[in-house]
Amino acid sequence: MDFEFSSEQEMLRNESRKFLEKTCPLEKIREIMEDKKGFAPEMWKQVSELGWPALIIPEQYGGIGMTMVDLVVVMEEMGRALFPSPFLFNLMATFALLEAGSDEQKQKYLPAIASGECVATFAFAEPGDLVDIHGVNAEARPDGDSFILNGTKMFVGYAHAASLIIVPFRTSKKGKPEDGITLFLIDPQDPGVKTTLLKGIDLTRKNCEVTFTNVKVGKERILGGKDQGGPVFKKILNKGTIALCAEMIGGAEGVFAKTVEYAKIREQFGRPIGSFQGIKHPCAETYVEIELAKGLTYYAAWAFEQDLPDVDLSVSYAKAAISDAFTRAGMDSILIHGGVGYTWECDVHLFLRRAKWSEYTLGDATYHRERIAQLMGM
Amino acid sequence: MDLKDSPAEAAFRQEVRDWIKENLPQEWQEKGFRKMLATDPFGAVGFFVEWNKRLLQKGWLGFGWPKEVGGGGASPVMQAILNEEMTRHNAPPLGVSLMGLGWVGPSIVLYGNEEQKKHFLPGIFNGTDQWCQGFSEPGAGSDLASLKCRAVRQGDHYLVNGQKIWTSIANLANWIMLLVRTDPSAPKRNGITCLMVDMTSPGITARTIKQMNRHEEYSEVFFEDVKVPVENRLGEENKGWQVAKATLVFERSGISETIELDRGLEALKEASKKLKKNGKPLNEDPVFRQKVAQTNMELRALKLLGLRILSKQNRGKDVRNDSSVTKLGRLNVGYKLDCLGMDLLGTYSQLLRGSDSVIDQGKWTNRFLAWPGYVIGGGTPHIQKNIIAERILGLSPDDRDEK
Repeated sequence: MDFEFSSEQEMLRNESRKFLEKTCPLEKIREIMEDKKGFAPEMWKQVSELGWPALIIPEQYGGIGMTMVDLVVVMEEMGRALFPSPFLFNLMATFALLEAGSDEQKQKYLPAIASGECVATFAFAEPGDLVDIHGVNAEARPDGDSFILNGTKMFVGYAHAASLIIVPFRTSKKGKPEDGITLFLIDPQDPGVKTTLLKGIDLTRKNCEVTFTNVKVGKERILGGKDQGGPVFKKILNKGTIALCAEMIGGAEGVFAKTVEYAKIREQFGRPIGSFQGIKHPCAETYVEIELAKGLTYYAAWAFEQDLPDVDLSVSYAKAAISDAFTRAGMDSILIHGGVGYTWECDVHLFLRRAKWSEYTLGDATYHRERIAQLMGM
Repeated sequence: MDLKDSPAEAAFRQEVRDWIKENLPQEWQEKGFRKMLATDPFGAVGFFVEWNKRLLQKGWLGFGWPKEVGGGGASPVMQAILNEEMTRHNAPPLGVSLMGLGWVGPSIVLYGNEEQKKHFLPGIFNGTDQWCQGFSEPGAGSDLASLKCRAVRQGDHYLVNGQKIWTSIANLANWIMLLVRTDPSAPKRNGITCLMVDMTSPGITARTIKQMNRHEEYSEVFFEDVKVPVENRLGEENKGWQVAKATLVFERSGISETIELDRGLEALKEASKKLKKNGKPLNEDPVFRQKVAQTNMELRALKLLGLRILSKQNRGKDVRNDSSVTKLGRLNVGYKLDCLGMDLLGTYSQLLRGSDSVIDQGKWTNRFLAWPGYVIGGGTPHIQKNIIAERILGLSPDDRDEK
């Protein structure tokens, strides 16, 4: 039994952290925030050279073939740095291709994703705030050998910058909700696809609304077979949630480090405010909450790697834990910074914004606690 | 990262399971030691002694202690496997001399000289010595280092005068690990000495304290001109604070068991299916479900945190401050579980064991009323938070009196 990261993983962590500290400091992030793209293409090129989009892609498709646990390490560092990029969404699209793609589809897209040329995204939400398969209502109607797509997808990360969107549509209303879902490979340039950039709380990441109006696509655009997309979609939600949890842990640790640092240097009543128990105790509590969430996230990643039966439960444990912990770490940070923490210039609000975006994305704590209750046989 | 047992660990786990099957009577395996103790205390205590003998023969007492002192020299992970399997299969505690094996023994291993190890460890292994721990005083709780119980060196012995409080099993123990003030003029942490004192020495009286739940598990212990031979000093004179700090870490680590909590949660879940509130089973109530799920998640997180710390320890890294983290986590989730048990029973939670209409013999209410005792022992949550903030996060101590 060993629950520590390997020395290779520690190295990967150190290199990722060093790279982001140097290339992506908060001043740079503030510039990117003001740009409509929401990420810096030259930085995306650099991280592609480092192999980040290629991390989990097998070597035969131009990737590095690393594991979920390796991925967690890099995601944590991206979260800590508040790295603005399409990485998470690109990753979910990669999961989908790996899971359901034909060899031809994999050959077509994966090497391009691995090299950073192709930015892909995955449309996992619809209006109505349903986070799972029940929320797939956008419809794909067969029309000879083609399909006519209609519907709206919400909060599609970086769809405005992507050249591939993987989108679940409902192709059948028979059977269970997961029975009639089909995944489609969509080019945002396809006639009838409209992408609208949304203005969101998290200034370091961009989301879009994507509408489909009588979009006609051939059956070669199906990823993984008609009506077969439900289980794939579920799996991608799980995997994406683990990656998001890891990013959130990094974010929580990142903002918490700022809190502790400030508590050590800010003096009031003639001494550092960190010497007051009124500051110390919430800091200790946040520390414990983050540590608890870490074990849950690492376990979930490992459970996926090992294909263990408790993956669903593990994912929900992790997301329920870090959703509360990250928001708390962010809000506490502002309060402990006091007035200066409420200013635009102080960076901690950027983390709180990220925390709130992350909290509700892919299921908030309440959603995951209910899932835990179901899975534990309540 | 690999959370599975290694081949050696898996083999050892199987060995422990097989051994328990062979050595623990069927009735004990089914009912567990608490029930056995409650139904037949005399018989149960008799079996504890036999159990201790078998464990000793097997080499599983002081399993993690160095081999030179008669221990098993086992790695932290192997010790954890032994503990886990024993608890899971309802075995009695690992050895009769609970505090001796738990934290007094490890302190003697760490700070004792050769004669002391030879003199004190066999009694802990055989279970013939019961140890208690004289740390807290009426005026020295969270601020333990301000203790006043005085020891004055007089030739080949110390003369001890003063009072201790919150001493577990003082009425049963024949030895006490005692912190005394030997230099009142030094800064408070530099004037403390640790003594090992025979509880049958003239001048010692112990009086149990009636707790809020009517139990009497702790005592006050009074020392009046008690003579303690100098050779019973653990560590150097005025260096007792280091010994105490190590002992408290052992103590906090020992409290971090999660299997019992798992069982509590399982029982709660099953009970919630049978109990109705507002006309429907409680397990269908969305708020109750949220609370149970949250508690379950925290419990799982605590278990995994324990495994992370264990792995760290297994690699020889310093985990001293981590025991405060697990203690805090455990107390939080333990309290949530007890409160859920009370929620479950609703107005029936007011009924105590022995009352008409009581549900589950008042188990949840008993747990709730016992909780503060577990929380305060080994340092209140507030003190654990200070430790985390100062020793892990590096925040500076406040201006409390450190002299």
